[in-house]
Amino acid sequence: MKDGFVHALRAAAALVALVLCAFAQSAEPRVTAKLSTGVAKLGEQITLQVIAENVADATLVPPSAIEGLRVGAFSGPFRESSTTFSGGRVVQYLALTWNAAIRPEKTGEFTIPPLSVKIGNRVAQTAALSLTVVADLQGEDLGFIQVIPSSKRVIDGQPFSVEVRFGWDARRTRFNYAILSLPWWRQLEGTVENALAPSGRPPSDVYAFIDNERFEGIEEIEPTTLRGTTFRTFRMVKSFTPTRAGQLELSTSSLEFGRVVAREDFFAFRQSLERAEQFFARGEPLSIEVVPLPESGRPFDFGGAVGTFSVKAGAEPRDVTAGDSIKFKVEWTGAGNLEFFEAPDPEHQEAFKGFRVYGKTETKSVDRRVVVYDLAPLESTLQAIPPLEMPVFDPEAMRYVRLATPPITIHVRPLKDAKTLEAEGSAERSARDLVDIDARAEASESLPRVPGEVLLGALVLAPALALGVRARVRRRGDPNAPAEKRRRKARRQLERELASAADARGRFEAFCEFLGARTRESREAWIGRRFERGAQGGVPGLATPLAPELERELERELASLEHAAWSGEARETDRGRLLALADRLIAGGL
Amino acid sequence: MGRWLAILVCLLAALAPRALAAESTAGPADGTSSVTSPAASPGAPADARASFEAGVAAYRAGDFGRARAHWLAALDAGGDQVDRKALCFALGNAAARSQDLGAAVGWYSAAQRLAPRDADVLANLEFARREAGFEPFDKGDLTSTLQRVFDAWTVAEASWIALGAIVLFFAVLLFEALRGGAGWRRFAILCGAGALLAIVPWVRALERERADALLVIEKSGAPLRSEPRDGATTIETLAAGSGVRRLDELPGWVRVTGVENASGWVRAESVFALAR
Repeated sequence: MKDGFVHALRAAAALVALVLCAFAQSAEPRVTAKLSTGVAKLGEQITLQVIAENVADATLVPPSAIEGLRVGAFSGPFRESSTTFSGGRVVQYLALTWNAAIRPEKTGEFTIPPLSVKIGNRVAQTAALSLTVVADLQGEDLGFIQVIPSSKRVIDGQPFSVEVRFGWDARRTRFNYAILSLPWWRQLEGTVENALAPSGRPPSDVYAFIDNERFEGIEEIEPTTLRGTTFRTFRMVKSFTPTRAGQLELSTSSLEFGRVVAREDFFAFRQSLERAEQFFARGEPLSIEVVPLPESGRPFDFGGAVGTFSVKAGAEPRDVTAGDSIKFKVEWTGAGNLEFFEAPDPEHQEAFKGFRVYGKTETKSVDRRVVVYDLAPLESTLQAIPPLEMPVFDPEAMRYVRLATPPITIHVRPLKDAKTLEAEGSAERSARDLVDIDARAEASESLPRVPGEVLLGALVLAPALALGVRARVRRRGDPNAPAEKRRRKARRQLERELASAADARGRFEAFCEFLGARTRESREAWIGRRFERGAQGGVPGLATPLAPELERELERELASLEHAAWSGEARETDRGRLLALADRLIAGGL
Repeated sequence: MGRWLAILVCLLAALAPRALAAESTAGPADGTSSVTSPAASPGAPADARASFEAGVAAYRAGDFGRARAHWLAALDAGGDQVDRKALCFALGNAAARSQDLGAAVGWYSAAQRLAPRDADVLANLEFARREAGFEPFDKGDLTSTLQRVFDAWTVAEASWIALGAIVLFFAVLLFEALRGGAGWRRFAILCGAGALLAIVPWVRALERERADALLVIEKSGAPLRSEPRDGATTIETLAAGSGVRRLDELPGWVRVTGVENASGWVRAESVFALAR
């Protein structure tokens, strides 16, 4: 019931919307642009907004650069639509909005030229906007920002660092935020950034941002005194390695600072920061000259190492047999492009002719380069690992120098009963080839074949024959039945029991057990059994009659055993004779 | 039980003389085949042993063409003076040394059919196939390994393996019949499965022997044409190193069944007869 009502309400709303749309009137497309403020302080962020009204779809043409203003990327378009009743008419409003952040880099009057918006096949333009940028005189007094390079002139490939120092009047203890505008910080054209270990802990009472992104890599240093004022001071450092010669431009940097307070946002369940005091300070633009490496005097084996380095080396093991591997570890440290140069290859150095280089492993960091070479001495006459040389351009001396490791004494033992590796290397190379022909090719006796019909016949007959045998055997009973197993084991059992029987009675019982097992009867059935001659002859109860002589012999033996058992005579019965009789009985059909 | 064993012995005694008297039917399948079998040189000795030795002398002297002619004559002479596998192997070496790698693969394959487990033959076959750019004989996968296990026997060897398995099966069946018991029954089932499995190599060896197998030795593959002329439609391209079966023959052309069981004609020089 409730669902039905909701569905009906939805259908009615949809119908109203359809009718409104049908009757709605859309006005002519209009494109406008506006700034969040017409007068801004140097370093302050302003928002430029472009609005295209009464259009469903449009594209903003990116504006060209404006000298002195840093215009960020436009975000959007954001869509807005509404339908209203006005004077008995339905008016539909559609708008697309783009926003961009502008940060002035210098003071003065600026004109933002008309911005173009493509609507279908035509292009609409906004009116030009004017912006006045003034210096924040109070901010310049209260704060400062400085960009300090390690050197304003570097050699191509020579790492340099740029330190940014900023701060505010130390008496303004409630100031707690800094927003730095550093256009070159994320990417400085013509350089690669060097990874730096994080510096000291960031201050806990200051929020720092770079281009509106929170930044944790600042550290607080000793206060600085400037213009007679003591400033609470912070610093952050970045290191770069130039990749080409020319000028590196670090455009105007600015600092926004002041005090923010946290406000509870009840509906969003979070805190938001609001500026309570806001000031701006400007830094000077800066350029760094990157000088190309001099061509004159450049060694042919120069691998791009630029800096002031020191080197040390070690080897392990030092007492080896010719051909054994030695780990030759070389470590370069100092100020320079340690991460970027090409490590020297001993194979290309004359001094290492007596060694074979199997490879190397490298670890790189901004302050250290470690290369472990896998060397093998080829001859026992070698007494040291020679100096490994590397050409380096020293930017302080402005010339190429050769940095060499100290020689390392080693002891090389000769290989036992073997050629040197050098001799081995010069030997004929081995490769896989054909196996040679058999020059004898003697025909061997060929194995005769089993004819196919024999195989197939055997395959068919063997199971058939076995099944026949099985059927016949099963007619007499299951051969796996306990009585049958007892019967089969009777002879072996008799032999064992006779061997272990201590007296005549034991032997008598063993023989009765044998007879009982063979006739599928119990042992007791043969104790005191009378041999009555029937009309057919033979022992009563036997399936197959025994031969008369055998029967008489069995009767005599049983009587003798029984007498011995019950009379207590110590007469010894011949065990072999009993076993022979048992065999004859089995052969006779027992 | 003794009586049943006596019956078994009698049965084996009845089968054995036939088996031992059986003549090996293996031999040259097609000595006059026109498929990549160059004629012997007119001056070659008629005696197989003498031809072989003359071939060895020529081979050692680096005259591989003459060695091949002598060995082909020895192969044609037949008889049991020279091991046929060694002859095919030597012809493979002569072809390989003459850079006729397709023919070398063919000769090694023929030798491998005669001596399936010969390590030297397999080594040279793989070497020649690799040099010729063919797929390896043993691809190393499960199918290839099973094929190698089942095809590692000559017909005679496989027949004795099969007979042995059947006799074992019969003996176990007899024991089961005489003694009974679940253990013997299970063992009999196992031996039955083993006997059936042991027949597989024999069946495969027979099939291999009877099929008039050819090997595609054209490096870029051989076009299988609908009719025995060059302009005829190509049904498929037979991959180099693949095996096909000969159905018919015309001068310069052989009718074969392709890999996808389509029959067609290929140039005689593109294929190599493996029955030697």
